[in-house]
Amino acid sequence: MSELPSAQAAVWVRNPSWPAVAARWALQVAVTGGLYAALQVVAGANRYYEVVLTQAGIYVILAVSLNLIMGYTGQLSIGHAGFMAVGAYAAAILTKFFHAPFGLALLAGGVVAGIAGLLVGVPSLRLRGDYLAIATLGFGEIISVLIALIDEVHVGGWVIDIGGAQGMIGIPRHTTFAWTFFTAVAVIKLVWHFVHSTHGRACIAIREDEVAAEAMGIPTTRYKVLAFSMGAVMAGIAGGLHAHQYLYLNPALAGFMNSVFILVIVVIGGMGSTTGAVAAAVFFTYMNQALPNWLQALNLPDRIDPPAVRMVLFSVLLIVVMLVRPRGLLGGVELTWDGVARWVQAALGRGHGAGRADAVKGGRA
Amino acid sequence: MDIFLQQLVNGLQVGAVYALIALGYTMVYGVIKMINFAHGDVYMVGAYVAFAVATLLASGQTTAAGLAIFALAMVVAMVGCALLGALIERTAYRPLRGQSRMVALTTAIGVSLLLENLMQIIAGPNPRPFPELIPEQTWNVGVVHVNAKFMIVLAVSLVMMVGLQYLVMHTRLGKAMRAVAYDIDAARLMGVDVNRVIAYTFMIGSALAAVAGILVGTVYQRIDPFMGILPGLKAFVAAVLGGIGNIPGAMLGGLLMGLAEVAVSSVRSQLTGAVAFVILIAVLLFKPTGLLGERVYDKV
Amino acid sequence: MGIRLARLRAGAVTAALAAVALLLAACGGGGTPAGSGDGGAGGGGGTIKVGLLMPLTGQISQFGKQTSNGAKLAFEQKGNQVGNYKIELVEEDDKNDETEAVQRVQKLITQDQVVAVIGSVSSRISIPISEVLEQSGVVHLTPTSTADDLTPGKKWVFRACFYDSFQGRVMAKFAREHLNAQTAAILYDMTNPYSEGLYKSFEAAFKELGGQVVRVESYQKGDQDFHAQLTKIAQAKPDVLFLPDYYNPVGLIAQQARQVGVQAKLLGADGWDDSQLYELGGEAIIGNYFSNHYSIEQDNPESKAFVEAYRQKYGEDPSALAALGYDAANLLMDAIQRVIDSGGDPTDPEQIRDALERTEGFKGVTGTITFDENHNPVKSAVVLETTKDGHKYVTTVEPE
Repeated sequence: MSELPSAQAAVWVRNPSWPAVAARWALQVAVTGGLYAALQVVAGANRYYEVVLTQAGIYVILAVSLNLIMGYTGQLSIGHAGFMAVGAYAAAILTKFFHAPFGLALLAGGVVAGIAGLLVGVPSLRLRGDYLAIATLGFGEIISVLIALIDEVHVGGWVIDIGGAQGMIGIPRHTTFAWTFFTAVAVIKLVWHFVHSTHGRACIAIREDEVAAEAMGIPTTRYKVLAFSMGAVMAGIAGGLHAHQYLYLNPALAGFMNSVFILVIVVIGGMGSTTGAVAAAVFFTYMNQALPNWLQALNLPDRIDPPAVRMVLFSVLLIVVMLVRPRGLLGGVELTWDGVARWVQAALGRGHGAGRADAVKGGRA
Repeated sequence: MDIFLQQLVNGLQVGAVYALIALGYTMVYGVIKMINFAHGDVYMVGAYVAFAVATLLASGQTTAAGLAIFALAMVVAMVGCALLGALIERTAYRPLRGQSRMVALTTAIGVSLLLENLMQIIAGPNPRPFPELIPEQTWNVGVVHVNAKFMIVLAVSLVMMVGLQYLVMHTRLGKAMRAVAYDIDAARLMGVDVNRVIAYTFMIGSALAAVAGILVGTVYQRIDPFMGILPGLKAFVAAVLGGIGNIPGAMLGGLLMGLAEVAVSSVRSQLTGAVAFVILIAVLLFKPTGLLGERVYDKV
Repeated sequence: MGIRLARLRAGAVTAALAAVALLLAACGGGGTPAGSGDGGAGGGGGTIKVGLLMPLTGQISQFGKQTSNGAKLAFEQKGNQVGNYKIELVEEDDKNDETEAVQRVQKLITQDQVVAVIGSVSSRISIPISEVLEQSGVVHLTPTSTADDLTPGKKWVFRACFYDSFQGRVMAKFAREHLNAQTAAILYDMTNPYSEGLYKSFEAAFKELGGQVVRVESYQKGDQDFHAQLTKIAQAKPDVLFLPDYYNPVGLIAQQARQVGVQAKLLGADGWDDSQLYELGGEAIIGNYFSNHYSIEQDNPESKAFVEAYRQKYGEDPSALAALGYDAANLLMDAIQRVIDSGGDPTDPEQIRDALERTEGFKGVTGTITFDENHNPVKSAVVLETTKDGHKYVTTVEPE
């Protein structure tokens, strides 16, 4: 493999020839398909694995979408679970009471959550920093109170019973690992292309310096609302997947704790790193399941709750990561084939005494 | 009319608790412009420290002895929480000064979760009955029932408000705090020991949270590791309503919040949970500086 | 030909990374996937796995531990063995949290492959898990969840306790006939189906028996201040105030009720049954009444033997919940025994379900159990009084 001269490479990236495009697509499809096949084997082996894998996929979507808002656009949101809940309820109502096809219900859930995102985003994105954070937190709590209040809605001849505070039951099981996997792939691809487009650059500019971005003629509010609503749509879709896996929804889904869990994933994975968000989402879903079992095996004294120990470990991890790497473990860095390859080269090069440490930088997005 | 007066008293009782927590919240924010998300949890720790002292000593005592234990428990809780506040500031917040607010707030959320769950491990997840230090007494003023304990809460929060206002406006430390709040770099150039001033701010704020903790423990006689979350958030809303950073504003905001909650509750109790957050969003949209806050300009 | 597809890295690497991590996730989760017992059909023996899902931590952990202790005692007394089959208990903690409970149940079904789940305490938890168990075809037997909505229309869901309509009715009847109450008020937790179910059945029965319900107010889980609602209730001057919730809010409500001048007798249900009620409620809780499944003072051989064994093992008196946990475990083992006796396969949930449905005249500690068409046992309730020396038996109310 020979290195392309960098100028040539840049031209090539901007204006690739069609065989290259086709090859790229083919490779992407092959890798994604292969990955799916491998995971499906695991999921098929045991229903519990499928449950955990599906959950990991749902949190991948949530983390990647919140990362668009927080990591790329720099807007702190502690109400992401609110949008998840809106989408979850919308999709569940459509499948339970109107027997809508699952895919359509998921999309509709996303759209409804997106509208909620617009309604919240337009007024509150004028606020900055802490105030925005608290406003989004308040939004999540209000959603949760509103859901708790609504027992039944009569639409025409239909009686839609969402159970109020007691939760909604009788949701059909539709979510499979395949649904979750391909939705997650689509969301990752969408976010990736968005942040590498002109619009994405505008969002990053807002994150880096809002005043300067405004001065450069970027309509900052419009871009913030755009990123916020896109994030909300994706969270809503994730909510729909969640609803048809758990078969039960309640107002706590929109609450503070769930939002914080998504936030922790994004912050630790790395703000502005899609690969970081994906890795952290999978890692935390896994830890959430595995840790209580490990702790149980330790035979701790009766009064020490494994769930509390789990939360202590998570919060210590959160604080330490913030102190050591305030932008998260992979903050602003993407893991890529090239990056890994260069890193390996660099490591080998260093082993042979040649100074090629600068190659690692190639991985920066 | 009777019921209206009684509900007014009820609202002031609930509001006094919010005001008490909001005072410490608003002072810390006023100085370093950071939402100390863990403030509500320091308040919870304060309640537990007081609980430990009180259960150790209290058993069928006279009223006078009860009050003495109450005073002792309060002092111990205040000292304990002041040290805890200093520890949190030193290890978690100081290294992050100068980082973005997002980082500071995220860390504060981490500290909050840590305190809640550590306490759950230490003291168990179940609510504990707080020993009765001040005897239950209800005064019947005309047609209205007034709980003596709540009047103590109201009185303590008023005293704290006045004391805090005096501290900030008329002492050397207060002057330094205001200087740090106005411009941290200029203050440093002027010879203010910024780190020490901020450490003191946290210690005082945490000691105030401890006072709130022991008073709430005494009033409701039930404490649990998660008691700080919701009152903490609502106290923050109260501080925003009054104008964050403004000490009399926190008092006013707290009382108004209590009244608003009871007003909604007496019309339809199911809606009470949303009151605080609706107020928050309304304030942020229509008067972000709060009722008594000053206009703040963004520095570029 | 260097295929250095600059942009390709996007999806592909992310996906590959996800793959590695997802694989990791899949291999974790603790334990190995257990087969559904080594011995398939036939009388060869094998292992039957039973899930025990209780709130061992969280707000009502007291209840969870008592119920779990009762159930474990029953299994132990039988040597964890029915016929040639070993019973393996898999215990999980639902933290009294709906989402956690659903996760744990999915683990019990898919990883441990249990034939039945005994749990949970609160209806708020049992209703969502019954949805999952019903769709998965696994037996759900709750010892203590009393909400009406839990069992009707469900094929796989059973309970060992009476249900709220009956319990609310018992207290309405007691208030009217024993206390001669004319008016009643109710204060309930709107976020808890247990509380709401009791409120509705009490209200209906009290009206039907000629009483008047003068005020209904609500609060939410975690609330501490009830003065606003209680002030309105005090204004209406009811003879009795029905507080259908657990001991922990009830203790607080009782104190605040006295503060704002509520003079009514306080009435409650089985959620009151805990000694912490007295610590949290102090003087204010003394001299009131609640309904329960069982009283330690009851005089029958099953009950006496159980109280003796329980005291010996745990060093304390069994609560009603412990008795229900004990009965639930024995109900399940009885059904398994009958499957074995009839030459069936006791590792098949369907056969256990059918046997459980045919339970008749089962002699339990909390009464004699036969299931009605909705899988609810038909049995009596007791009314207890709160005194300075703890609960005191007042009367027994038979099903109509």
